[in-house]
Amino acid sequence: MNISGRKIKTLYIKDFKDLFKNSSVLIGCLIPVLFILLYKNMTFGNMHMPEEFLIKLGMVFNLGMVPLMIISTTVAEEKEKNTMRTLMLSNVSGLEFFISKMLVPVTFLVVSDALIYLIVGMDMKYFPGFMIFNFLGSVSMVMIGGVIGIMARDQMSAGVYQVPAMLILFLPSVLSAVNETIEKIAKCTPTEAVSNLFFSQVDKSFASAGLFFSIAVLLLWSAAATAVFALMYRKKGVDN
Amino acid sequence: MENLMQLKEVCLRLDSDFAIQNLTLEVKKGEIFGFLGPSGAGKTTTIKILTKQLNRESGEIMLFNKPIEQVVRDDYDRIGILSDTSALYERMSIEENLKFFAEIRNVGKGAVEEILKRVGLYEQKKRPFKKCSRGMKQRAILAAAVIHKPELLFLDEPTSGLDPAVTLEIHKLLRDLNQSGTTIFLTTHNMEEADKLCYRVGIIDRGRLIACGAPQDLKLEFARDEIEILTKEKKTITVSKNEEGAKKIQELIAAGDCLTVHSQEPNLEEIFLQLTGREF
Ligand SMILES: Nc1ncnc2c1ncn2[C@@H]1O[C@H](COP(=O)(O)OP(=O)(O)OP(=O)(O)O)[C@@H](O)[C@H]1O
Ligand SMILES: [Mg+2]
Repeated sequence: MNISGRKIKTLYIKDFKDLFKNSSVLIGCLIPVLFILLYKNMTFGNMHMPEEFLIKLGMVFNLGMVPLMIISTTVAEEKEKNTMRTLMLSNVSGLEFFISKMLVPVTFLVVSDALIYLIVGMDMKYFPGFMIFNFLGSVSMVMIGGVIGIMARDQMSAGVYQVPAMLILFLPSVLSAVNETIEKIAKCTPTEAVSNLFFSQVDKSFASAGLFFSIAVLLLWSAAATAVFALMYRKKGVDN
Repeated sequence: MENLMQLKEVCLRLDSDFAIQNLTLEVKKGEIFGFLGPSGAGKTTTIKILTKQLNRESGEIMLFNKPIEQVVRDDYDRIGILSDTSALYERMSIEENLKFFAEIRNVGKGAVEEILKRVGLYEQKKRPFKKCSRGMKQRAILAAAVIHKPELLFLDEPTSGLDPAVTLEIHKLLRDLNQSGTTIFLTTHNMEEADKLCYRVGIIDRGRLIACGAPQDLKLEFARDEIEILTKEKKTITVSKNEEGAKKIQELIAAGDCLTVHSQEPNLEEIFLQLTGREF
């Protein structure tokens, strides 16, 4: 299979620009940043939310929501409006199409994660690690986004698949303090693994599991999601 | 003339019914070939087979002088396709859309301006695709499909649902493209369109090709053996194309009694009726 860098770049620029014209998706993607901005400026009595809590909420929320939303919604829209088919007839391959779709949320996450970090105002010496772990976490999430993109026929069904996937992937992590069962589930999610990797550098008391365990979880999710994506892509192709 | 495309006894079943049955035809380099048939005849299916969106079950297809199996992805940059579902990006302007497709096809930005002028959308190029009228949309979609100046262009009902003025404009554009070397394979319901635009037409019904040739030749082939004469008294006289008929015509002309003479060529619609016993 030959992939053209030129075509991916062209698709990517188009997809990225279009994100900023697509207000419903854009607003959805900015929710984590806006949330953190709001929480950061809220006081309870005269207490502020702890930085660790805010950074965790921000990264888990961002990672759990942005890739799934951008990829599945825009892929489904291209199916529904037949632009995807038009691309295929213009000698664009399905893989080039999906690579571009996956690169967009990766870029978006880099910017929004940085924003979240700056808003929370944590010590900058942890910033590089924060960006790297989030980047690693995004691999599995964009693949899951791709799987939903392949499954969904239109924007309606994309929404139907998206919501439970998001809830499974990041809600346990947010609610892990509630009880032990949720905490156990959370440990196995890629979002919690990213947060765990980060906190094992920063504040060990905030880390929920061992470093090795989190790396294994992250690798497993990335490998499994990539395999499922490859399988679905082979079986269903880009059109169904 | 060299063949650009050749089909030999191509068959395909969809849901156990033959969508295409023993289809044999060729498209010559430089021509506009019209593929005519009623709804469900198999026109779109044929285009899908020729553009590798569907696989035939049997038969042979040659494209660019090689079997279709050997046609690789890059050969598709020599082809343009306007399908019945082709679309552009709604939130982008006409110009942005065309620039995007120019980049995808690896042709210079100059091509965008040229095609915009050619399809008459230069003035409205900044308009978002979503806000264009149907005719503008269709012209923009066509522009995107031909921005790389393909050697071979497939059009699936390029004018269906458009008003006569836009249809005329599209016809002009297609002739123009054809003049500059693009071979065109188009499907249509519209007999008149086929008659006016195409060098040759194939008529397909229920997956079978039932007639093929230049519109003029088909008309002659299916012409009835009669000539109609309108006399001064507005009476219609029908004579056969034989010695007796010739004599009658001569008499009428000599007597100054003949207003018009019609050879009564059938149009494509009547040919279809003759061939199938059904209305088109
Ligand atoms: N995906 C499909 N599955 C099963 N049958 C199909 C499928 N697509 C088309 N057909 C059948 O194949 C036949 C040919 O369809 P096709 O779309 O090629 O017709 P057409 O000539 O393009 O018609 P129209 O003028 O309405 O576009 C029809 O009988 C149709 O019902
Ligand atoms: Mg059709």
